[in-house]
Amino acid sequence: MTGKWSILSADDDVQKMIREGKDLLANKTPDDFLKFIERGIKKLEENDQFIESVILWHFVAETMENLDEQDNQSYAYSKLISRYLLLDDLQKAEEVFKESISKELSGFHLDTVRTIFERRSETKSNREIISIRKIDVFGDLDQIPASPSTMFENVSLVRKYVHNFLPGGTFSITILNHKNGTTEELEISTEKLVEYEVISIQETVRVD
Amino acid sequence: MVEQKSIWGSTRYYIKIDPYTNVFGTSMSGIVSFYDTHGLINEKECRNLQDIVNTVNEFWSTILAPHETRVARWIEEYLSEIGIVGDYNLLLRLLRSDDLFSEDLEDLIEETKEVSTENFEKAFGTAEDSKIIGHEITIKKLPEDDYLRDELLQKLIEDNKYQMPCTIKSRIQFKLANGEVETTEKENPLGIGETLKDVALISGLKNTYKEKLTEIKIIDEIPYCFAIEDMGIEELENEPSKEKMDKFLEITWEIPEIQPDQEVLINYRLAKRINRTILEIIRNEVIAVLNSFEDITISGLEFASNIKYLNIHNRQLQELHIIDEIPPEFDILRTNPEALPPNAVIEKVKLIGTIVRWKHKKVAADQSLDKIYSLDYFPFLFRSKKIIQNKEGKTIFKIAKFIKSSERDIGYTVNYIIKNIGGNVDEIISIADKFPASHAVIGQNPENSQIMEQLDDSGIKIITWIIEPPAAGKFVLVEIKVSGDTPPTFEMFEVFIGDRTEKEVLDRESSISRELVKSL
Repeated sequence: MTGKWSILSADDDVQKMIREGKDLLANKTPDDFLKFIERGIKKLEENDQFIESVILWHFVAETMENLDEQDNQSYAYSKLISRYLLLDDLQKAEEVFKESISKELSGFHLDTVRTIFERRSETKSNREIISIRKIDVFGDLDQIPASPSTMFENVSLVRKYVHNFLPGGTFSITILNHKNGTTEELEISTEKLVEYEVISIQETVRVD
Repeated sequence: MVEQKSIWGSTRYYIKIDPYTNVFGTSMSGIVSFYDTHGLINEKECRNLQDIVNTVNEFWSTILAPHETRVARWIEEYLSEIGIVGDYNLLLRLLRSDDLFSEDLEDLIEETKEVSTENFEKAFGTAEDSKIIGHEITIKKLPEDDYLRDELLQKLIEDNKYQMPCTIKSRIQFKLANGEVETTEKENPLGIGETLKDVALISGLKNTYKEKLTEIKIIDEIPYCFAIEDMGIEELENEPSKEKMDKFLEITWEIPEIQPDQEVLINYRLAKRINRTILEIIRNEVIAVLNSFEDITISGLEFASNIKYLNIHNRQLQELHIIDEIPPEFDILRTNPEALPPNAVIEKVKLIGTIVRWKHKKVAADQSLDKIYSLDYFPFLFRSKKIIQNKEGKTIFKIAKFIKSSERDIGYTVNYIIKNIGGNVDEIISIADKFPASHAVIGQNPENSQIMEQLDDSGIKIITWIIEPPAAGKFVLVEIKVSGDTPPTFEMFEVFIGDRTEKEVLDRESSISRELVKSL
């Protein structure tokens, strides 16, 4: 078999799947549609046909955007970034990565793949600790001085920093991501935690 | 210790699986984390084995082409390295199936009906105030495929397992002055008992009418998963009647009259029982599932439960499954016979509790299979916090008390912590707390803390800590070591500030749950 023929037949497969997928959408749910396409993609990828996989994931992303199915759209974007990375096409991966941020997409898989991309492309994100508050036994937060202008590439490095440089305790850490201007809160305990059966009573009383 | 393991074919990506249980099976849950050489990329809490397998596969296929057989082998190898015997074929099946076979399994069940259980109760020596709930299930046939067969049995156990309630239903009936009979219902929440073993329940009625109520009947539906250790109405010597219903023990209190604004409170001290589920394969198409509830009794310094089983069917049982759910307050010290794989497994599910699964094959007619559990308290932490407000509603102090479990012969330690929130209060603070009369203070830190011990009129020991208030925003704390060979009591302390006392409880919340807390 020649290369030309195999490409043509793969192309046919993709076109056929797109057609069948569109038919499926007429009377099935977006999840059924996704399941169908994903099954097909799996077969293609097992034969290393990642270009075809990318075409189909673009089709899924677009379809899900039209249907306003943001979770599935985020999932398709995560697949697109990871597939471009597998194809070593960093430029395309970055394009999709930026698009996913501008479309404000988020999700478990997308977060995973974005982190992989950031580390692979060495476009380090600039996370800065802007506040460290210690949580006391009453759940109250006491501000302790943070060290500004120390940048962290990712959340796990923030965790490492907290474990290495803060005293024993439970901390509420606020991080500003300079790249997209968002902040996030992390609760990190630097102490060894053990499982207990906790019996808890809390009362508010008036004394006079 | 669970470690990260590199993905085959990659030198910079790793996966870590931290299962909540040490038993391999479809219900296995846990956390799957994904790392690269810099550190954590992402992690997910998975609710069952299917979810674990899918998550590992998802992480894997973000950096490599999908390869189900390699993923299944990798997971099997990983589990084996942390001491769990996995099943490659099951892992591969889960990777290849989108949805399990739940729909097919549902189709196999033809009929489920409730059955009378008196014969079982007699044979198993069921306690007088307890009952066995029985179901007989007719299925089309037992699947030949081992995996499907296990899944079906697991489903029948899950479908017919007893579910612990969080509230207890109470039905109330009374007569008004005009002779009209009113009925009402309420759900009473379960509360924290005096010790770790107890559960408190308060039922009763407050007369909100402007007239006297007569011929009052309060009927409490106590589920069989609780043993009644004590019950009564304050200042009323009234014996209730008991009747065993299908799902609960009905306790009926008859009260002649309640005056306007008077409230009658019924106090129950309940104890959790071991919830047992028994599955008997009687014939190929007939399966019985029984729920029984077994008492836990004090045995020396430990607790014990001696549970009987007898095959009362006049035939050999193909298979018998016994699943014992140990209340989360307890930890298993030992079992008799010893629970050893493959016929028995003790499944410790992180943050949930302990389940013991026994499996017997070819159980002869009249064969008895008794099990004895020796139990102790699961490491516990009692945490009570009080927010003190002044009459203007401003928070002035926060006070906490912690009791940590320790070796029984040493006793236990109690910590009190006071935090000054409001600022300028300079009156002496006293914290008075109840202890069992036989317990005694044997040490305190700081040593010069002012601690007083006294017995009140009713023979209860009161320990009082007297201290000057800390400065605004600061803490002051004391640790008291108490000796005693019985469990501590779990009660809220009382606070006095100068000559001011607690006037009103504005808010109260209580809970019991498994938590990961700082190692003490």
